[in-house]
Amino acid sequence: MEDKNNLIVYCEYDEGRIADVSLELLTKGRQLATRLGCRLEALVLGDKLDGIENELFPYGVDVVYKVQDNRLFPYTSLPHSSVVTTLFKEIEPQVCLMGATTIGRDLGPRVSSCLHSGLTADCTSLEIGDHTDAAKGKEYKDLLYQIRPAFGGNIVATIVNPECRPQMATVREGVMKKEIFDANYKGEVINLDPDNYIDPASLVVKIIDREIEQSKVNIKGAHIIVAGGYGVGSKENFDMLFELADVLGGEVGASRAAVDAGFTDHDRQIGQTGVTVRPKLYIACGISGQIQHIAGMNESSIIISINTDPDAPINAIADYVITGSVEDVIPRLIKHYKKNSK
Amino acid sequence: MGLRIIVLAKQVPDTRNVGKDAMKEDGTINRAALPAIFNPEDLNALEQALQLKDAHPGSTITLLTMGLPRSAEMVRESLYRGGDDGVVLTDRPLGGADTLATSYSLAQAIRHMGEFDIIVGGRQAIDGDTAQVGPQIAEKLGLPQVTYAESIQVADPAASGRNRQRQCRRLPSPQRPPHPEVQICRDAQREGRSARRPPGARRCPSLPCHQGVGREGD
Repeated sequence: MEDKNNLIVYCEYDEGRIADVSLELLTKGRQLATRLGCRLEALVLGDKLDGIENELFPYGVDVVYKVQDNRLFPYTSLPHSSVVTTLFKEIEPQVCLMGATTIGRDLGPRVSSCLHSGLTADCTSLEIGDHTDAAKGKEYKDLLYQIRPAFGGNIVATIVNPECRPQMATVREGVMKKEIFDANYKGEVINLDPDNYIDPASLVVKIIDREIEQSKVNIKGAHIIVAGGYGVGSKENFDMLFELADVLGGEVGASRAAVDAGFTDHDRQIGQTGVTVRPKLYIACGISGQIQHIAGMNESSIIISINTDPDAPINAIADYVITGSVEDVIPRLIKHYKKNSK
Repeated sequence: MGLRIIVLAKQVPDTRNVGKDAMKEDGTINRAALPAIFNPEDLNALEQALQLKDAHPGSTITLLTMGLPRSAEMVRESLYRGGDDGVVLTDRPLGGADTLATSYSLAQAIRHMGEFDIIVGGRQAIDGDTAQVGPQIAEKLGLPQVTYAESIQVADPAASGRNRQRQCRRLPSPQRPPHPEVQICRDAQREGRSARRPPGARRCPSLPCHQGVGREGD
């Protein structure tokens, strides 16, 4: 444990598996750790962790810290933050990455507050670079650039954490790519004694019932997405998007403005504060193309934009642009596909 | 038995109407140049607090906000909707506060405000989208937290535990923390009730606003 200042990923564990978002972060973490010349570490907390390291090593993990205890699953805020902060005080990581999930967004701020170090939420890109503080006349080498759209998507901010450690960031599921680094990669396993890390005072919350429900919408896995924005105009007009998606065998997504306006459900939201998607075909209907929305869909293979405004920002990244109103264009698309798809 | 409820709320720039002068040179937001609104997700928190108040007569709701002096509008809106009083934390040194500085200041204010049973906040503010301040306040006060809550019910008014639902990655799971606690509401779960401006009231009621609380205890 004498080896300090590495890059660590808090890995989410659920019923014997590591969450995809954590594997995506390990993939990114491997690149950053190589660039920094430090080790890539993974921290897993849960009740049944036997052999879990075999799922992690192929992503280039050098050290897996395991804390196995029945009290650590299912996740609750206090015991997990107790373990993370106690360990971090010992190993002093220079960078800590977490998924921007309901767990990471619950745990991250608590850890950041306890360790007095900044945390950047929902990063869309992470890089290593230098920083000069002109006011203090100080130079910093190899900082983590935490990059995210901010302020309603009106700016892209690069945030650095020059003095305090760890430099902490959360990233949403699907933003980074998950890739095996080396199938035969082998690292070290360190089993930590739970009693040294779980503060007994942290065990005050009791889960009295647990209900698991599959999410109804699966836009992440859809090959075709018909997405609507504020420009769709109404809930009734959104029904047309569902009809088009149905004809094409796709799913319906939405921009934040459309969700905020109550046109459709929150779990369909695509973008920085929703899900990130990479479908084969993305049809953007009445979406202006705020940077936050684009962050969640710009890796789609083909993008078609339907918009009344020929200068809408989304048209700049679209492969095809149809200038016209949603009410006018969509029924014609539906009619055409129905006629030709028999 | 009534509950003493604190609602955390933020006045935010309407990010849908952003002009050229919205950003200052140093990269922080020029709040004075933008139309200000009640953070929509904090209205969910206020609504949740009002539902608790309906269910437990004798409860009081105190709105706590930090921002420019005009954030007092937030307290007024909360009063129209059924809140009882409010605290505005405003001081020049608080300008440009990041999440750690904000949660520290708000936690200090809460310490100053005395006994309470529950703190409710919206999931996140639409200008920063960080969702950090709620959990950080809980950490600084040494309290448990439940984020992404879908509903809050008091299991047994006599008991000190509460019953609530928290939305996990795939699942809601009610948890039972001891009180007091911090509760973060997920968005779009409930319809907010509309402001009920007292008939004939042109002027706002006088407000028990305490200014500059944040400097204490530094």
